[in-house]
Amino acid sequence: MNAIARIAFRNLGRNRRRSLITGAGIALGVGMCIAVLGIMEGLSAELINGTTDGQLGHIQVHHPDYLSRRQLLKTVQQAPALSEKVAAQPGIAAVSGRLYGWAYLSYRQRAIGVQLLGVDPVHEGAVTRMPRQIVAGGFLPAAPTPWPAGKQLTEAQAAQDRALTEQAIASAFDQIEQLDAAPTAAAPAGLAAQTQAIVEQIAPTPSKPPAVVLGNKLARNLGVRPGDLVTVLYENAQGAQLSLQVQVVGISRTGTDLLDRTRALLHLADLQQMLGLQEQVHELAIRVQQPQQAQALAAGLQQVLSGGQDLSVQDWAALRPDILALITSNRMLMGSLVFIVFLIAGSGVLNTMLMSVLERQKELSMMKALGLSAPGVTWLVLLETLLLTLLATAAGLVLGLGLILYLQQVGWDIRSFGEFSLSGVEVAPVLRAELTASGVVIPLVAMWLIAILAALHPAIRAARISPALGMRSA
Amino acid sequence: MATYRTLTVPLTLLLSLAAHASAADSLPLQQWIKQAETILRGDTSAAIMSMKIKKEAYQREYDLMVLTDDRAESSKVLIKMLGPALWRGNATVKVDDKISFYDPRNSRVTVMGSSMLGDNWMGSHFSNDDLMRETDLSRHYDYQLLQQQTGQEEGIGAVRHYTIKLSPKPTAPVAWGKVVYQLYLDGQQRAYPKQLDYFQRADDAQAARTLSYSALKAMDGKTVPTRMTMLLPAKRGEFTEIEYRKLKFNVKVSAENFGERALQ
Repeated sequence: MNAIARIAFRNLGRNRRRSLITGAGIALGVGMCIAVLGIMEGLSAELINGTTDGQLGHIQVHHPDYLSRRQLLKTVQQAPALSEKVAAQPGIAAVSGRLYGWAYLSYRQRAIGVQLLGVDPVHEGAVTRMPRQIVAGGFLPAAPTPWPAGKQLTEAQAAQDRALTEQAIASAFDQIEQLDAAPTAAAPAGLAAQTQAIVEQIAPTPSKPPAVVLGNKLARNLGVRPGDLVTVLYENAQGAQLSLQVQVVGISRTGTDLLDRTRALLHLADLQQMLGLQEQVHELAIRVQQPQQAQALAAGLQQVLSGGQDLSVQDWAALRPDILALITSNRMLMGSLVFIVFLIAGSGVLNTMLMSVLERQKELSMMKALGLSAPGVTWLVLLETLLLTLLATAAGLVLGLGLILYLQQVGWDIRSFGEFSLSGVEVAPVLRAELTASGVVIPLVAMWLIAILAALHPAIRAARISPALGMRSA
Repeated sequence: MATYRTLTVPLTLLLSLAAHASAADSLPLQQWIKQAETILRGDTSAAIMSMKIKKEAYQREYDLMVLTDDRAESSKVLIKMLGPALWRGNATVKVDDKISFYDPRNSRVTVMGSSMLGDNWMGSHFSNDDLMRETDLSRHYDYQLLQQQTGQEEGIGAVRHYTIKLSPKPTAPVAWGKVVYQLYLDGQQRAYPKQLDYFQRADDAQAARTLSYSALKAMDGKTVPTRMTMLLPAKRGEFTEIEYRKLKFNVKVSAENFGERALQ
C-alpha cells in the first residue's frame, strides 16, 4: 500500500509539466468557483438586506384582507398596545407601525398622485434604513405635529350649520335667478366666517403645516425643495375629500424607482389624524435579531397574536416571493456554471490520466507481470489522480479564499456597468463576497467526485492491460 | 351594423308585451338616448340639489349647486358645495379634460388630470365621470332594442317603455362592457330615462351598478325626473341619491362661471 502511494507520488513528478498544467486547471477552477459562489452569496445577502432593510422589515403584520386590495379601512386596531406586545416577544429587535393612504400632491400648477406613508420616525429607524435614505433636508421630526382634536358640534351648532346651509342654498337660488341678469351675486356676508368657525371645531387645522418627506423623483417632478409648502388632497376614512397644506422637510432616495416617484412620508400620528384612523395602522414592520429565524418567528407571532383581532403575520420571503425566487434562480444558474467549469476540469483530468496510462503501458505490464494485481493497478491510477486533485484543490482553496478575502475587504466595483436594481431592490454599487461553508465545501467535493469519476476509465483500462501484450507493444 | 328589414306589424302585436329587434332597427334609439341623457341639462343648466350618501362606514348629505354648459364639444361643469360646514365653499370644476378642485380652507386650487374621472366624487357612488359627464352614452355605442311595452308613469300618463342594450364600439374609450338602458316615451315622443344598468363585462349576469330616475316633477316648465339613485347590487344597503330642488335650463353662463374666480 505504502509502496503504491510512493510510486503514485513519484509518477506525478515524472511529467511535471503535464501534472502542473492539469493541477493548475483544477486549482483555477476550484478557486474561481469559490470566489463566484462567494460573490453570489454576497449578492443574495445584499438582495435580502436591501429588501428587508429598505422598506419591508423581516416580518409584517396586517389585517388579513389588507394586502390583496389595500383598502383604507382594513387596519390593525389598537396599534400601540399590539406593537408593545410584539416587541416584548423573544427574538424581536424592533417594531414600527405604518399607515398608507393615497393623495394628490400639488404645488403651483402641478399635481401628482402619490402614496402617503405614515411612519413612526423613532421606531422606523430601528427596523429599516428609511430615516437614513435622506439626500436633502432632514427626516421627519420625532414629535408629531401639534394637532387639536376635533369636537362634535353641539345641538345649537348643528342647527346653526343647517341654517347656514339653507342660507347658502337661498343665496345659490338667487345666484341662479340672476345668472340671466346681473353677472355676479355676492355671497352672504358672514357665511364664510361662521363656516370657518364650525369647521375649525370639527376638523381643526394643525398649528403648523405637518412635515412631509418626498421621494427624490417626486420632488423633482413637482419642482419642490425642502421648505416648500405643498397641498395634499386626500380622502379620509369617512370618504370625505379634504385638503391640507404640508411642508416638505426632506427628500429621500431609496433607489427603487416606484418609491422615489410616488412616495410621500408623513409622521404616523399626523397621517392617522388626517385619515381619521387614530391608533390604527395598516402594517406593523418587524425587525428580528436573527434574520434566518424570520420564518419561525413569524409562525410564533401568528400563534401569540391569535385570539384577538384577526391578523396575518408573514415573513419577508412570503411577502416578497419574487426576491426569494430571484435568489433561488441565481443559485441554480451558479450551480450550472460550477458544473460546467468542473466538467471542463474533469475532462482535463481524464485526458491527463488516460495519456499517462497509455504512455506507461510497458511499465504497468511489467508491474503486473511482477505480481501487482489488477485492483492494485486501478488503485495506483486512482491514487495518482487523488493526489493530484488533493494538491491542486488545496492550491485552489488558497486562491479562492484569497479572492474572497479581497472581495470582502475591497469589493468588486460594478459602477462602470451602470446602476443595478433587481426586482425593485437596489444593489449596492460595490459587490462584496460572503464566505459560507457550502460555498467552499461544494466546489471541493464536486471537484473530487468529478476527478475520481474521470480517473475511473483510465484506471480500469490500465487494470485490463494484458502483461504479455502490453510489454510487446509500445 | 344592422340589416334593414321592414315588417308591417299589426297594431295588436305592437301593443303586446314584447316585440323583437327586427322591428326596432328603424327606431331612433340613439336619438332617444341622447334626449334622455340630456333631459336634466339642456344646452346649459343651473341646479340646486341635495346628495345623500349611505355607505357601510358612513352616511352623509351634501347640498350642491351645479352649473353645466354643453354648448361646446367638451362640456363644462361646476359643482359647488353649499353644505354642511366641512365642505361649504368646496368646488369641483371640469373644463376641457382638466378637473380642478378648490378648497376654501387654504384657498388653493388643485388641478388634476382626467385620470381622476373614474374615481368616486367626494365619497359618493357617483364617479367624477358621472357628474362631469365626460362619457356620452349617445355616442361610442351600438344600440339594440331588447324589449318594449306600454305602461303608466305618474305625472305623464300612458307611456311606452323601451329597454335598449348598449354595446361599446370596438375602439370606444368607455369603461363599461355593456349598458342596459331603460327609457320611456310620452305622447309627444319625448324620451325620459328610467333605469341604467352598467355591466363590467358584456357577459356579466349582475350589473356592477344601477342608476334609476324617479319622482317626475315640473321644473322650469319641463317635466323631468328629479331623483337619481345609484345602487351597487354587490353592496346591499349602500346607495347615493341625488334630489333636484331647483333646475333652470338655458341660463346665461359664460366661461367666467367656470373660471378660477367663480371658485372663490
